[in-house]
Amino acid sequence: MKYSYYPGCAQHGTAIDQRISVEAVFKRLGIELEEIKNWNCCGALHVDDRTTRIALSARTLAGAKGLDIATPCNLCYSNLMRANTALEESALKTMINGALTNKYEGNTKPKHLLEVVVNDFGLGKLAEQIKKPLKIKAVPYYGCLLTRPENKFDSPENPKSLDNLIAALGADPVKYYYKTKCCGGPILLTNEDLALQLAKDLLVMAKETGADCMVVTCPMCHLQLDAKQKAVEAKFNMKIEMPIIYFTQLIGLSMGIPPKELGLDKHLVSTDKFIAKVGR
Amino acid sequence: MAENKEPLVNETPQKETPSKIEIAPRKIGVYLCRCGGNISDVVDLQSVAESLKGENVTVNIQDYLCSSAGQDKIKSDIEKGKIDRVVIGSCSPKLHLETFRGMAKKAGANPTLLEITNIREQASWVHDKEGKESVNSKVKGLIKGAVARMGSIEPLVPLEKKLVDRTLVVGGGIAGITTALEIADDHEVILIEKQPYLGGHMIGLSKTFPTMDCSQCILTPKMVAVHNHSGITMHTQTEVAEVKGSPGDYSITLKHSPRYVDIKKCISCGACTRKCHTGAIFLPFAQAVPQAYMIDVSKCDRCGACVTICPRDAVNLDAKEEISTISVGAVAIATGFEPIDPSFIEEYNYPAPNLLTAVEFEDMLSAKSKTGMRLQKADGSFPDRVAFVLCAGSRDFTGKGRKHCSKVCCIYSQKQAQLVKKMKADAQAWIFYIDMRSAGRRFEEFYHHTQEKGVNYVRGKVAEIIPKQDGTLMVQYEDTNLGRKGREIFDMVVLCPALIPSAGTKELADKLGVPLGDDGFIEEKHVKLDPVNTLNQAAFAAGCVLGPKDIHDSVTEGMSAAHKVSQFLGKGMILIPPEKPMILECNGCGDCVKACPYNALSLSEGKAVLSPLACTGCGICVPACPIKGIEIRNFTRNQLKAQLKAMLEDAPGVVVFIDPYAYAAADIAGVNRKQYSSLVRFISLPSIHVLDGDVVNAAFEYGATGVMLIEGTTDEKLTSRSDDLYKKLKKDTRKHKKPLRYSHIETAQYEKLTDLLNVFASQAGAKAEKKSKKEKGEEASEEKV
Repeated sequence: MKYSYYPGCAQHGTAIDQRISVEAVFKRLGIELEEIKNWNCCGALHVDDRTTRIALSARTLAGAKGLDIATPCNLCYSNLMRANTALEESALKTMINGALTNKYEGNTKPKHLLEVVVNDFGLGKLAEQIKKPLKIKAVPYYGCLLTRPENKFDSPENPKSLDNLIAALGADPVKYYYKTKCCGGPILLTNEDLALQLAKDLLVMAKETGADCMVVTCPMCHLQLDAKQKAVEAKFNMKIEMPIIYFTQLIGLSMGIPPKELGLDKHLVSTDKFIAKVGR
Repeated sequence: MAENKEPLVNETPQKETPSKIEIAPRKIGVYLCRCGGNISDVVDLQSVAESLKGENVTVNIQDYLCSSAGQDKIKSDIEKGKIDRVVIGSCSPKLHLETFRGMAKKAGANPTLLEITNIREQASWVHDKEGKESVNSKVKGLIKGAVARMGSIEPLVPLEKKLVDRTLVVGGGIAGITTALEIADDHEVILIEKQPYLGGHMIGLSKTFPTMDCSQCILTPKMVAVHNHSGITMHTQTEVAEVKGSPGDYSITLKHSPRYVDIKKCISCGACTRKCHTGAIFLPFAQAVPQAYMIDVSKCDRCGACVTICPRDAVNLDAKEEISTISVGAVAIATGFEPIDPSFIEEYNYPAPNLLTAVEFEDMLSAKSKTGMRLQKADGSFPDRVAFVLCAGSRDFTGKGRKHCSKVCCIYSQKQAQLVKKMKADAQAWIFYIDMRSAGRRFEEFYHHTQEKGVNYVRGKVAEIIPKQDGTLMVQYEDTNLGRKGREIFDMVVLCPALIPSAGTKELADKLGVPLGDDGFIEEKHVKLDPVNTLNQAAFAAGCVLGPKDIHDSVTEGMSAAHKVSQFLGKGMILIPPEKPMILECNGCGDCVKACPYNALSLSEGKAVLSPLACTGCGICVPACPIKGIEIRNFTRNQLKAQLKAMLEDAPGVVVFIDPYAYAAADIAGVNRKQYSSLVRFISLPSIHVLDGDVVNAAFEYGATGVMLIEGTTDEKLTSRSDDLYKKLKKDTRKHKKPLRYSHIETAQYEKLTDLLNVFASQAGAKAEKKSKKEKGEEASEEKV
């Protein structure tokens, strides 16, 4: 299995832990990720102009050279998907291609790494790689952009793929009604009060389920829920202490990969208790 | 008048058939209806009339042909001897054919010599976006075809068959109970119910709006009356397994699930329940009719304590499913509704603790209550804050839910809100609605009264319902009156689910040849004027199987259906369409006998003979006969050819042979103004199986650019052979290299029908154009687009 890989900016900054775990896990699963040369930012949620936003992604899509393009980030994924759909309109494609050195032929399909693992690799095959079933309870948290706008991968209201993955690793995916609610990440800089309120809602609901960790699929969610968890605790005067784990880290743990090789030591909310519970 | 004959019968020589000999001189009158503009705004009827100049017919145009003035005109023309055959161009024959034929009979003409060409549902209503030219040319073709056909058909007299004076009522809810009771004084009734007791959904209701009287108080006497009526045989836990025979004379197989307690023996003393250690044997509820215990086998460990203790020997743990066969003349369908399962609405997160459907809410407060008629949360306490969420799965055009309005939810949710307030004055009841629909006598007053009780109304759809760890539910919503979003915590949320036809409606309807609408409810014979009849003259319907409605309306329909059943059975006879096979030539090979799916043909002294009462007129025997010795009366090869030739003479088109069930779909398309190509020319047949290569080849020869066969029947005896028919026709008509297609379209699938017609018409058109280019070269092809 081989994919063209679009890591997105976070992998080189705040999500270094995710990057380490992706490398460790995908190498062992035998899924080859070939990083696109000279890729650029997807525009995240900050580029207002539609054409510019699509053009940013079009350049990346062209770089995939016809391979399916995999990405670990929900924002990147959502932008690539939206651009790919918009570029089916030939007038727009012609216009944008006019500005690109490498032309985009409409011949690639963006996939989130979760989709690569769950659908392409398959949970059955993944189960064979498990050395240590995880006897824990985990919150499946998808974030707002993984299944939106509506795509063929999973349901926008009640997605199941991450639940299924958690169950396949031997853990118990708890019922969590905020699966696809916004974590507040994108407005952290512009409206911190609201951003922390949104994160608090998610964390409190996760805490109430009695889960051992919250599993995320997106570096932006991780930043908000992990790095800003202390800020939430301070603002609302409460203790949460909820470990926020990338789904790739969870897979890695079940495969018996040492926590350090998964970047679990780089979290701001301590993962020690969680790792102890998983067992060494 | 004999000169009429020549132009109408055309050059194709008629086979020597009895029909030829019997044909009297024809005096055909053509009557076109403007339908108050419904037709004449689109079709230029004057030019249609003018186009008939050479046909030797009298033509007359009326504003409303169905009015007394219109009918009187035809009647007096017949009485004066001006005409003896009638072609009408108007709305669908499904609406007024019987009316007009009744009039013709009174005037002294043979009713079969009056036919209707549908130029409203199949022309003016579906082609009004196309150019007038093409619609006019279509209508001219249709009327010319109809005139040619009228000139070639023979007068027939309907056959009579004795009716079985007994009715099957399917469904023991309020509609079925009413129907049964209303019929039973005059005609014998068999009432079957799927559940172990009568009462349907109504027995599961608490109070009934708008009077707030108790449901079981008004229903129980009726259930007892059914039980005690000597004219009603009642079977619970019973369903229809198979339907054989024909309207007026059905043989129906019933399937009875085991109750394990003999209803006749059980005196409901309750000794068994006291002995049972698993709680498997129980009385469904105190007022249940029949009053008899039953066993839930999933709980029973077969210890046998109940068998031993029963003083009446009523318990039999080895009871098996049983089958019985009944003979009935008519069937009344009252199978009601069921609530849609709202778990498909992912954002509502149903099911969850304290998140109920309105049906579950009612259950708690009804005769069937398991909480002692107490409203309570999962933890047993009273809910202080209750939300009602309307339109859960109804009025949904996204394709996920149902499009229709469930009609009763606005009022019953207010009733439920009143009950909450009545049980606890300081409790809060919120109703989230899109539109508050309180149309109907006493309902607006009820709405007003509920407002006065202090129920809180929020106009806006609920966005999501989030169950919390502590058993409360968070409701996020938009208040469109205040223009803001909101979020409230409730102790209980009641979803008012879309009401849909009960499971098994389609299977039963298919067995009886009754079409359903695209919403799954039974299609009335006429939506306004024949609301409890169906397209099967011996099948009637009442209650929610015709669409969601309240008790009052279900009772009204039950009474109507009973009246219609009594009227039908009261005649003692049923008229059977006389369009049956005639055996003109027979070499005794027996192929037709083998082909007939209804055992209506047999060999006697080396010749095929028909039992007309067993025959459904499907026409499978026609192509089956190797010497072409069988024809269906008034649908003979030559009659069809005459119609085709005249229809296509002036302008080519796509010929669509269509059976009555699919014809009904085309009518619904018309009522819904679904546009399709005006090249489409329907030819109505009793079934597409009368066709053979002769007729289809003739259609191509006379200029059809394509031929479609559209079948709507759900009778497997026919549909299982359609594929072979299609392949055979394809082979036999290959030389024309023109498109031929078969499709199965049930009555409800009118949208699929129009899509198909459009696609096929454009394919056929493109192919014809290509061909004509090839044949005639560039110049000729330019005009022929």
